[in-house]
Amino acid sequence: MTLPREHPVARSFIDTHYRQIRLLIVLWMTAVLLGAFSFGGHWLNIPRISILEHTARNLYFHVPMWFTMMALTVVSAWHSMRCLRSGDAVRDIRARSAAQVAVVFGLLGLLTGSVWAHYTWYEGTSIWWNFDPKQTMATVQVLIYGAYFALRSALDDSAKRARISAVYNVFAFATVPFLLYVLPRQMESLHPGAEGNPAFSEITHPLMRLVFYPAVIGFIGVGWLLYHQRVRARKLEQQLENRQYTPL
Amino acid sequence: MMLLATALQMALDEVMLSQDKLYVVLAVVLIIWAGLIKYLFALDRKLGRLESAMAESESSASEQPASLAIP
Repeated sequence: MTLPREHPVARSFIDTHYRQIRLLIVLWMTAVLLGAFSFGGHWLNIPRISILEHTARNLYFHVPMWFTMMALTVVSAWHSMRCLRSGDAVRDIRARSAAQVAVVFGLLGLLTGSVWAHYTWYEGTSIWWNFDPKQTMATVQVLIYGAYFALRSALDDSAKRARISAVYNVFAFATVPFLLYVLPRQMESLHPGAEGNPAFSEITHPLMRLVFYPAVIGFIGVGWLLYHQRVRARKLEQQLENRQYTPL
Repeated sequence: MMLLATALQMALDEVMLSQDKLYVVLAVVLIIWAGLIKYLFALDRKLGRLESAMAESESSASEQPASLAIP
């Protein structure tokens, strides 16, 4: 297992242009927010559906949480596989950081979904959570990634931890399409695209795509920013650990 | 106690369901905003802590070893 090198000289394009990329993402998200709250005679004003009313706009916020989580799990699994092949400790850091940010987005997706459901599906009741298959599967998914961190913290040897958790992470990723797509669609669910329910493309006004897709890209950008900083922090932490344990 | 919880719930529902449920969208946006900001701040704190530890280890490396320092 090679330890992360201390290389202040060799910096990638992303490292040298981090601030510009961040500014771009912040401006992009500002535009998305403006688009999401267009009213009146504005050209992005979306049609109103009963029960949903204005909450249709949650499509721009709640759904990208899951897209971002999935994007980050792809990144995490990719680096875990590379870690298994090369044994490079930096790959382990990247896999772990991506999984961490993925869990943050997963939790935000669960929370926002619960609030949205309470005022639409469960309007007039005091229900916030009713084990809709997609909710349940998404919770299981977040817990599977939670177990990844439990597994990591149980292993002391860093080389062993990197290898074993990488294997687990690849398996965890393999469950993502099933838990978030396949199973909820097979069961009776209030989510769009489930058995008997029209899918996204059939019920969503074309105008909403103009905000929805940029929102997905923007949130993935925000997820990337957090992931990038997480990796930096972890690398720094390891450099520091190496210094403390090696005589100077 | 139960009455108070019910009253709070009703008051919350009244706000959330007014304006064609627009405040539900606000609540969702605020949850995401709070979550991401909380995560970002935690990360920044961690980076700050690491930076100062790094600076400390650099300065102590140029001085005499800690074991020889007079307490």
